[in-house]
Amino acid sequence: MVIDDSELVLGRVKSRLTREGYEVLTVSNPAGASRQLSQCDLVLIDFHMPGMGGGEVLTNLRKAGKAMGAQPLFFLYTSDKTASRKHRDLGFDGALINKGDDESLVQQLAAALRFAKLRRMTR
Amino acid sequence: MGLVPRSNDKLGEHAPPASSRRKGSLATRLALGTVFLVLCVTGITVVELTHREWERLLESKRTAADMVANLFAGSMAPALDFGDAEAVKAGLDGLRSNTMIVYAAVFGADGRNPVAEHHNGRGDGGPSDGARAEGEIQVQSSVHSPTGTRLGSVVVRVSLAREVHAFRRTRARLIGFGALFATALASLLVVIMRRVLVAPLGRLEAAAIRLAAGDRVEVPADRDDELGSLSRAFNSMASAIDDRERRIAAQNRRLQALFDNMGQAIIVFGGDRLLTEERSRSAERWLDARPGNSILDILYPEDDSLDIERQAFDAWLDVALNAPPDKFRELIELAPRELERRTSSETMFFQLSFRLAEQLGSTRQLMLLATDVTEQRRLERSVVEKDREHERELSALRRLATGGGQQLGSFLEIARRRLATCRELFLPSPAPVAADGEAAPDRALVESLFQDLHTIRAEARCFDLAQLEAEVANVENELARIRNEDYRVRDADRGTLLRGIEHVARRLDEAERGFVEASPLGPNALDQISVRRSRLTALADATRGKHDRIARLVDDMTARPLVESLALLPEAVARWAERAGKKVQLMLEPEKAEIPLGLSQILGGVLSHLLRNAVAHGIEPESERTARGKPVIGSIRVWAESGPAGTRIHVSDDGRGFDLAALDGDAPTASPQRAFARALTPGVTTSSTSGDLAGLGVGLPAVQHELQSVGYQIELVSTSASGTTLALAPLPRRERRLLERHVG
Repeated sequence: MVIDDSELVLGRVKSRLTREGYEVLTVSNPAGASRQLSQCDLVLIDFHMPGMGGGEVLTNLRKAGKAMGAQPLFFLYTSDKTASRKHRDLGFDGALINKGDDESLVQQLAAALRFAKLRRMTR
Repeated sequence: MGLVPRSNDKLGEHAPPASSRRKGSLATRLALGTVFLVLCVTGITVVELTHREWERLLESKRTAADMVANLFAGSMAPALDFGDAEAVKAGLDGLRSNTMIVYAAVFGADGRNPVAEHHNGRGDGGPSDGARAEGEIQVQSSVHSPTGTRLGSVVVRVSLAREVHAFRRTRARLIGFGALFATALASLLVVIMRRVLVAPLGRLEAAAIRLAAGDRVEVPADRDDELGSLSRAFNSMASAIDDRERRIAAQNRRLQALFDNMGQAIIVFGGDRLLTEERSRSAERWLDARPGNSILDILYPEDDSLDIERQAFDAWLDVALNAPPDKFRELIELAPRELERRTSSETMFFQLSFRLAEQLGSTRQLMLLATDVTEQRRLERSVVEKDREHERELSALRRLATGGGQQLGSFLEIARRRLATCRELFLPSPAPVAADGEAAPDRALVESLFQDLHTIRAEARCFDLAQLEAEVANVENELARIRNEDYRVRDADRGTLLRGIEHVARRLDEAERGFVEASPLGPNALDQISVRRSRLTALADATRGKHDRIARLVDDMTARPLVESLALLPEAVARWAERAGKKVQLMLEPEKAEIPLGLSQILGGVLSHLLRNAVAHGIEPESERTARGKPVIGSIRVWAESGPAGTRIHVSDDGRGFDLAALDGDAPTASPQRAFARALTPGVTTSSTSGDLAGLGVGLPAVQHELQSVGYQIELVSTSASGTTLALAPLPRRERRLLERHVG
């Protein structure tokens, strides 16, 4: 799942990741995102969103996920390095950087999914 | 460096024990043993010899003492028989001259008290006791009368001092000779053993150490004894080792060459994640892989907490190096498969494959094969880049077709609105005051600016507006600096930020201008919306024949850009020219003209006819053009001209012009236009031959018919030996109405 307030960004990410064989859910309004959590292995969240910041979105989704029994990984997705460095403090499982670089996104996403599987195995 | 390299230092670990660890050399120990043995033998011999000598001396002394005692007893018989004590005493005095006799006594028949006794002054006299017997010998002899009656006895004790002295001298001599002999024999044995045994063994030891260090060695083996056999066996072993090492080295070189040619970096690492000695040259060259380095640092050198690929590999190593063997195959699937390694000079791509190298109990070694796929990836990326370029072009077309201008327009409008919000944030307002009375930092301002600008940047990227993106990034960097410091926007910062925002606004304007200039629709590109063609056509059909305001609006709305109808012509003209063996260049100058929907639907076909005719009949062959002083390459030009009656489309060429005489036929006309009008009659052609391009005499009449059906007609503007110009012009209003009535 990708959560971003820009439809243009969502369209671009979905197009690239779909080409790689991923099933991608895009959400521009975080309010309705929790309903689809159970279908997701990984959630990418933009940091700068109007009304609700990435950290707040994360807190709400984590609560909702716990209630539903869904525990996907939550990753911050931004090109803002200062925000990325705070991802642990904000409660994210990790951060994907270089937002906008599609090739980098594909590689980082593959690594993040591997990381998610390994974490499930060691739980 | 080799596939299985072993350093000499390592081999040294297997060298024979060093001399320093010996308790003593073999020669010393043999010498000491020999000396001990010889000393024992010599000692026993000396003891035996001295014992025998002492026994001999003692026996001689005893015999002599017996003889003295017997003689003395015989001389005492008369004296005792007569009880003459004085005679006895005188007899005893006679013994005084013999210094060896230390004591003598004469006893009567009762044997209790001596009749007389003699002391030589060195003893206390009296019968001997056990202790005194050691340095003296005492003998006793009975005294008998001539008739055989026992009259008494005599006791004589003699000193052994002289014998003891002689014995000691002899014994000292024997011990001295024995010691000398033992020393000489031991020295001789040591020298012989050093020469015969220890020195050859030392040479073997030194040779073994050199062999262990990797040297080729050979020891002398000319002796015909056990050491000679040992030396020959050693030489044979050294030769076998050398041969084996040569073969191993040759095998390693072959394997090394094979691996180098395979273009693979081979690395082996253990449970501690550290690299072992085994590695290929490529691993050193490409990945700087050295023994003892961590595999994590080798593949992902920068310890960056934001590097998710490093984190994933770190987690994989934790699991893969400790998982049970049956789980390992499953875990291989979760290992990284690709690696992008960036250096200052180049970027390399590797395909990674992890294998189990060795499993000894719970200890596991893994092998990494990294294949250099840089060229392949570059090619793929180049293809992808081209695909993307193509996709961008298609996307641009699609955007145009589906109202993409509308999307860009929407983006520009929203971005401008966001910039306006940014500017408003700088308007003077009462500064919020913190609880401690100090002006609160401008956190809200910075974060709001950041958010709006960040969104503009992300969306700009979607339209490939790199300059706009870079301009926004500049302002973001400035905001990041303020955020990292103290969130205070000082006056100087305000100026910088506002200037940055104005730069962004200018880039937005430039982006809009660039899009408008690149679009064949011009400024209209931003005013486009998507409407279904069938509905527009239905609307146009409904208003056809009407000339009211609605009909004109519908005509305007359904008008199509001229460029659409010209899109396929350049390729077609090139093909026709090639088939006709001519050189032709086509110049399209559609400007931004729009044409009515009806004309746009037939114009492609009409222009195809006209351009094909121009290539086939108008443009001369190369030789003819040269003879006429024309450029070798013929030119055809299509351009549009907007007027109050509508858009006129001109087609001109620099060919030979119409053959008006042929067109006039039997009824010569006064003007070229009239002659041209005849060409619009079915069956009339100026060409003497027809071919696959033109010349059947059906083209122009068909063109005219089609044009008239949409309110246009073809006109001859001019024709001469230097070229022809035709125009597709709207029919005069009167003729159009007549035609509509006729069609109706």
